[in-house]
Amino acid sequence: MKDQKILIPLSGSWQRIDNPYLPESQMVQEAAAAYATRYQAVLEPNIRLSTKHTLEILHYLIRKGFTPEAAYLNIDTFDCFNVLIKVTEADILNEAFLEVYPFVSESERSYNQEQYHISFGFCGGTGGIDEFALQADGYMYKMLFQLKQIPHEKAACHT
Amino acid sequence: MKKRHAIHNERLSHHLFAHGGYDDWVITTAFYAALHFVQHRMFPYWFKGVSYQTLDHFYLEIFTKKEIKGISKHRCLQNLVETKLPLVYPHYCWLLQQCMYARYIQYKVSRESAETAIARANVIKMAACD
Repeated sequence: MKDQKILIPLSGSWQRIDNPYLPESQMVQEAAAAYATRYQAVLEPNIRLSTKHTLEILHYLIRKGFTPEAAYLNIDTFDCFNVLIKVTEADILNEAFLEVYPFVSESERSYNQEQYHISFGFCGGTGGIDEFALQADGYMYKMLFQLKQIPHEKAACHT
Repeated sequence: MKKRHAIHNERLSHHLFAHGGYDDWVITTAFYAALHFVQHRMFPYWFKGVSYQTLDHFYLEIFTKKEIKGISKHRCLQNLVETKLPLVYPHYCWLLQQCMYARYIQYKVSRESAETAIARANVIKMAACD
């Protein structure tokens, strides 16, 4: 068996997107900190869950032969998470990509709990992502990826 | 009513596609054609012994007052499509997300993408108007 190239997450956690234009007054920061403190007991485990579940969806996409380029997280409330995954234009136009939606819907149902709801969406196109537009809509965190050449046996483990 | 509005939007998507230059709007109008086609097919909708004449009626009653709070009307309709029209659910999701997320890719929509949107809306029309 040949070695293969697969995409793996650069880091297994969400990173805050840098944006010098994002106005964050002291009041906003204090409010955000107070909210995080108030719901810390639920928020932190939920963020860990969102990482785990996003990686599962990403690995599913890779296993199906698609190429996720980035994932973005919107924490709507302490118990409501939205993830947007950017794929290539070729992927989004591929007829086989239609299979992704029922799988993801079923996965969302299995992931969701009393105090944890996550939903996934997908976009694809020829251009790059407008991260300012994403941030304006609350997608403040990003998961990065890199392409790595790994032995076939290990690739099977990753996917 | 919904069917007429669906056809109105469908015609616009075909018109925009034929003339070129507005492929992002082709996707938007194709999605909104699909949105009205599925509502035409599913409403009036019976749920727990009550007949809901429109999505607005159902959403107000079920999603904002009683069972599930915090879900958008788009999400509500998407869930109904999954339950009642499962064969076109993937096509509906594709159109919804391509429409809603176009701004994140700076509205750079290819001709092929617009053509695919029209084809997927047509699949939904066939299922909704059979």
